[in-house]
Amino acid sequence: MKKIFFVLASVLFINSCNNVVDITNPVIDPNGFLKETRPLAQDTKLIMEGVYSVTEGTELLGEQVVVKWTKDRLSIFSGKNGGYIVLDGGTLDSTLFFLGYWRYAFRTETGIVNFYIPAAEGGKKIIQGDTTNTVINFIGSYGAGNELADKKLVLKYKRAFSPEVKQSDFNIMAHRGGGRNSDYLGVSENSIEMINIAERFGSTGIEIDLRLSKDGVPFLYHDADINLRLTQKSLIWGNIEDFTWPQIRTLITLKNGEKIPSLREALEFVLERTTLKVIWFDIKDSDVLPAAVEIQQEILQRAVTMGRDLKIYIGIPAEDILATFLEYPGHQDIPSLCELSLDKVRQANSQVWAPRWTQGTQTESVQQMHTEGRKAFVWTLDEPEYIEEFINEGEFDAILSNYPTLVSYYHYIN
Amino acid sequence: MLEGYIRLITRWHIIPLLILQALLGNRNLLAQQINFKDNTFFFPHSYQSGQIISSLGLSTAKLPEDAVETDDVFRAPLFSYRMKYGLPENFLVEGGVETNIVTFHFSLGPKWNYELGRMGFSVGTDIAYWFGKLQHFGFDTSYKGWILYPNVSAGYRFNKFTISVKSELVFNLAETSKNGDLKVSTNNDFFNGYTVGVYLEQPLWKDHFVVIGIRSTFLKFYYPMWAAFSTFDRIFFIPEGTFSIIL
Repeated sequence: MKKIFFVLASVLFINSCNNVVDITNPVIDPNGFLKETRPLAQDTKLIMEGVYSVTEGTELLGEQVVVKWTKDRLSIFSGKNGGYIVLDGGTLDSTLFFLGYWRYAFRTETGIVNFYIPAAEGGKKIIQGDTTNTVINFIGSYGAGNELADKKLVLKYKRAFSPEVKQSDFNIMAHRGGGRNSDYLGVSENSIEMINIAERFGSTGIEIDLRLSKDGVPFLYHDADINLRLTQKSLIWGNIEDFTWPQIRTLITLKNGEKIPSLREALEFVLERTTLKVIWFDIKDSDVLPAAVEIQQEILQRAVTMGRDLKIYIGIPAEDILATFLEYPGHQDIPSLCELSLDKVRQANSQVWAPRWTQGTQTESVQQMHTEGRKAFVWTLDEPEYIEEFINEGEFDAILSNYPTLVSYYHYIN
Repeated sequence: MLEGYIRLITRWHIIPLLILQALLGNRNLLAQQINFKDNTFFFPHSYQSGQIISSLGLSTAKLPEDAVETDDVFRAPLFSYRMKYGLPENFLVEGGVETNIVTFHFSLGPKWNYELGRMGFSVGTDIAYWFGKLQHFGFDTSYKGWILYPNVSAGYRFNKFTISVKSELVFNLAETSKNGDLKVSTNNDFFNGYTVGVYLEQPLWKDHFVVIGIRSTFLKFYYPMWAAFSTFDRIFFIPEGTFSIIL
């Protein structure tokens, strides 16, 4: 009896522990202050972009940060703990006001941030569109969670991005449509809602995971089965590809309450509602390939018609998918991205070679690909020290990461 | 066949069977016949100078979903060999090696044990060097590091078995990884977390003892998971189940 008691007590103790993460996402602008401001003109936003010194608040962001306008937000990227800030803003008289949140990418801490740029410290000249302006001071404060933003945070303009960075066509690719569920961003991976915020993290492209429903509809989803890591409790379970699209659509809800998007919905959203430049299909099952190619071709054609710079690559991560791809009529002309050897990249005539980052910079192979007119992307790189090394020492054309904010920081300070 | 067996032991299915066997096994053994002093490993007791007790074990862990990105979170087991060598004045030295084929962990450290009636106590510190190497599946990777484990144990000797609780603090002293042409010294936090384990030791037959243990680890960096290159800066709960035989 004693033994049984101790074993049961131990098992109960083990079961009492779990890895639930509790994040309090701050409420931004609860009083609607920004509605009283005027939006900033698009052409004046670029004036604010650059590398800034952190003169107060280094405990939050480190010594320097990158300030970059993305689709609809002002984003600030730091090298400390993958820290970043996303801000909404507007002008009132000659002053610029910003409200938003900060977050550490590797941790769960987050909180409120507010800034203003006084008229005399750059605000007036920014509004006037003065591109010679080099005096810009963000004056603000931050807090933890929904607590009062009572700690000072001041950023001082240091320099513009280097000419090399401005001319670079380097792409910052976000994993799973923008981020993983395990990073607790408030929206689910591989959802339209995630794609909608991907650019705020500095992403210029996204990788999405594709599967095929029983009735032939390609959709975004990572795992083979319906599980609680990706979805809320539902009435169906098992292999997700055993269900029809109406069943998937109506009976499954993603972790943060969204519906699973079809590939067509996701691509139309990217085309019409974002400025993303690159989409990488991670083909999870060779069955999805023909339907994915069909939609890829249609969306690429629409992008050309719209004058939109958009590249969509069919990913070839494994031998079986390569075999299916090679059987596809006209595969040589289909934009693809091959994760296999250089010979297989040539066999598929892929436009992109994409090795795993754990093989190092492979500069000689990357240069070979460049000589052949192909690009080289590396995946999935999250380690800060290696991100810095790959950007400084490597010659890759893109980095796929779960932390595009950190890739952005190291890219733009270059 | 072999693949099926490996799949079986890499999951928890085997653990309840082993627990059942230990709970029901050897019920007729008389208490006075049991020699705990020479046959228990985790229970802290005094060693004679020069006395050696060793154990061979197998453990498996439930890895955190967030870090391994799958709900199939049970992973290949760690095999371990541990040895304690008695020194004068209740001191002893413990050493061990753990491996899951691509990772090796060597530890060594002194301990001081004290017995009070049926109870035993131990305090000590282990230092460990570990390394991992993977050259397949798109990896050209190696990883190595040093870890410090200050630890305390307490145990109680019942008539037919012992129960011991061991707790460790885990400090990362150094870590270096190499991927292809790039080599990086990682700056993980010095304090990595802590562990608490409960171990039941009892004879299976005659003087042949088995150990069933359940250990809760609360760690930021779990060294057997090095190839995942997890960047999460938060403490994960990783439960481990252990089965050992005393040699």
